[in-house]
Amino acid sequence: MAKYILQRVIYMVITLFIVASITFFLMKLIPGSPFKSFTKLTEFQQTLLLEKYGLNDPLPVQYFNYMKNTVKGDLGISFQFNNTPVTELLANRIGPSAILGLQAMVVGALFGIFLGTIAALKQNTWIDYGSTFIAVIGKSVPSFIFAGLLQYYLAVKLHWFPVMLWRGPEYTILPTIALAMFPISIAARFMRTEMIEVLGSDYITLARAKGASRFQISIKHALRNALIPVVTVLGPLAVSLMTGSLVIERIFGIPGLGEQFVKSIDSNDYPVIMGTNILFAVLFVVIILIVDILYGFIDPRIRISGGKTK
Amino acid sequence: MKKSKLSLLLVLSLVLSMFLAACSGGNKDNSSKDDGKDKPVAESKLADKQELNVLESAEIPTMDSVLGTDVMSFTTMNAVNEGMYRLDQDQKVVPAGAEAMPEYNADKTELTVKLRKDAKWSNGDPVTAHDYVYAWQRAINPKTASEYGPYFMEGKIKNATEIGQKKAKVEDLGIKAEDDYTLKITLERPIPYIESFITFQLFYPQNQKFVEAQGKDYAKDAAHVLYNGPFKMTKWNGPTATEWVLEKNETYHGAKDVTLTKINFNVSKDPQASANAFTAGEADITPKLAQAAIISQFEGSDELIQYQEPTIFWIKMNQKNKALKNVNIRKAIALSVDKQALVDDVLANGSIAADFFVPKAFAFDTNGKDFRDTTDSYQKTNKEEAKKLWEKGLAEVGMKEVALTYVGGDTETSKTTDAFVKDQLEKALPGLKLTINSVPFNIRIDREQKMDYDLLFSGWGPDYADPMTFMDLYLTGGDHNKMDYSNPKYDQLVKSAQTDLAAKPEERWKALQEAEKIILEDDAALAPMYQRSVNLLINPKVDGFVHHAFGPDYSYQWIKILKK
Repeated sequence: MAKYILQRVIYMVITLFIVASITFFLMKLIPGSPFKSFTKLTEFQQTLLLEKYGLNDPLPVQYFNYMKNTVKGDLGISFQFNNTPVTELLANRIGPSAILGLQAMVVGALFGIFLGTIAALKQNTWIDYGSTFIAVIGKSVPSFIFAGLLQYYLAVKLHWFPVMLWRGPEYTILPTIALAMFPISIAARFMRTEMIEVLGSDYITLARAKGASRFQISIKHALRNALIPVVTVLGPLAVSLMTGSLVIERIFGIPGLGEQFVKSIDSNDYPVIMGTNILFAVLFVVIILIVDILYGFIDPRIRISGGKTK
Repeated sequence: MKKSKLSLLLVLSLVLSMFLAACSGGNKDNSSKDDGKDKPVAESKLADKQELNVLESAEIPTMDSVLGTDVMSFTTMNAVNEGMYRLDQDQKVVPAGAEAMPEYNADKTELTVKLRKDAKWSNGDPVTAHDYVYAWQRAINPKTASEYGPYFMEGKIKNATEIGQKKAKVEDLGIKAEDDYTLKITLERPIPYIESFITFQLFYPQNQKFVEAQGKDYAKDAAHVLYNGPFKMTKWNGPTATEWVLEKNETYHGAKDVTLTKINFNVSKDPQASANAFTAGEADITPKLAQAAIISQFEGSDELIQYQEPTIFWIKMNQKNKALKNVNIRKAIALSVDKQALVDDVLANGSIAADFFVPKAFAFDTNGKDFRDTTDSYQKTNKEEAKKLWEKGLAEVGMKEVALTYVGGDTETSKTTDAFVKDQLEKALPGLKLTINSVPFNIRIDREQKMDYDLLFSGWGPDYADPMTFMDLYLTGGDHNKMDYSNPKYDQLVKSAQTDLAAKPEERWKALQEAEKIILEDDAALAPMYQRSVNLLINPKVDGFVHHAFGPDYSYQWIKILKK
């Protein structure tokens, strides 16, 4: 097990290196400069500014300098937020995004797995159709529509919740629901398909033959096996939820990362683009590793040994 | 300067606003709401709680006055700090940190400014002439890497250009402290709009002792800035903060005229969400709302405030293109778009058709008359005339068909505008074929710089209250020209307005009017389309809200909260 994890960590470092390199060069292809009024300045003034921030060096030099600093943990300073260190910016902004993402993930996974399970158990009944309906809506209607509707009816009209901003737990409810619709639908669809397949398998028939109760079969045997593919998709989904949703954060005025990432690209804020991308990449590889390790607990057949997954 | 303001619409409109916002502001009020702003409000009508909740569309990127380049920074600095002069409720320049208006020497290249002696920083230090000298020198010092420092000072403040090129010392800058409360400012040449120019936040004082003591931490959050304005910041965690609080500054010399005790700011980037928060009573003032769909929800309500900001959008015509080199073809294009239909039906947000280059409600002559009211309008839509000019032009260049690349933005507003323009042009001018390239803001700027376009839709907002901020864009070989436009007569008029006519306001005004006529009527070098309107929602209990045409968007210091 330890050997396996060590090996995976080495792969992770290589992956991160590749991601950082590709991002670096792609980012430099975006036209424009990080200075807001750059085109107003004379060429002489422009050169002075570029030199000060090392943006006039040849690309390989800039790349080498960036990688060197990144390894030391220095992600540089943001241009749009006047000289705020990128690490500080990420630290300030990841909180709300992560809380919201986690809540949406927990709500989405639990509710989705529940919906998918009962749909499979009551296959071809109105319960099944109802849950499929919810799943289709959740997947096809964009989150900004849900967000807008929730905000308008539950906050503006009924005053049950605050309209926007980020000041306490009650402020997280509407955005969490809006954000959870997608994971609900994903979890419900996967769960239903898997459950139906598992319920038709030989060992379930055997369990029935042994006289196990229906409840026991569903929870102990079927659910556990059906969870594997669901965990596979939910892992990466958790990362994308936790790193912030541009749309939800905008609508509910949440000081998160999603909005920030898009804006950094728009404004050629190179250090922030790099910093955010590296953070996302780290979260992804870590979550994928955790998911792989989790498999072993969910399904004893997939025990990891000697660096291989069987 | 370019303005950029941003779902897709938001992104676009946001991008547009950032750029534009840096340069533009409000203007004299056209709205009926503010007409009563000068009337004193009886004490009895005031609400007990003088607290205001404001939504803004962006964070404050910096509170270091020499580094600001955007309208959020300018607006906040205008509330918590103060320079020699500021714009009052009627957009007039009035003394603020100064005791009186400046005194000039004979050729108007030297200003002497007496400062008031009761102005204090929030740490108790007096605000002195040395604080101004320090800030100005810091702004131009290449080590500071200020963008607006050189942009604003070079060619205007004595020796600024030389300091930028390291040919002169920072101490040689044209600002000296004659004593603790007397400043002498030396200009390169007389500048007719100098008084409003130095109301700009870049020219605010800074307390040297404080700035140097903080070092790198200066202006990193509310505790690391000093205040000398009507308000002080009591909460702001730095440039990434989406929430900040201003409270009345009791040590401000004009504190007795400030009624508001507290203003809470929050960032909301989604216009519909901002309107929702407003409707639910969680906000008293919303950010600018550009979308017709949102504005229409409040049509006719006394909560909706609408005014024109001095930002103009136009079609640039690249004269490197053989067809566009022909003046008749350019005129035909300029006359073919039904601008009234564009503002009424496509934009539907109160924007006005622009038959002009210098915007309305922006620049005023010595008698206070609007530049626009003292001169003609040009390029009125006339499709028949356009067709004749088009045919004449085609004959002159020997072409039957013209295919042009049209570069526009990628926001919803831009796309619908561009589709409308294409339809109008192709229908009015037989043989014209436009290919629209909808590109992100940065790409558009890039293509403009490289002159990789035939027609390009762009906009500009002012940096100071004088037609020159528009007029000098299209001088031959100018940094912003980028369309190969060159007319010696235009150059000569604009340059003489910058130099020898600088002290003769009436003749100068005439020269500028003549230049405008040349670039639009004679040369049709560019085709203005519309002047943008600002729409925002303000709770009717808020009295005395003031907006400006350049620098800061708004002033909060005259606001009073009325009883409902």
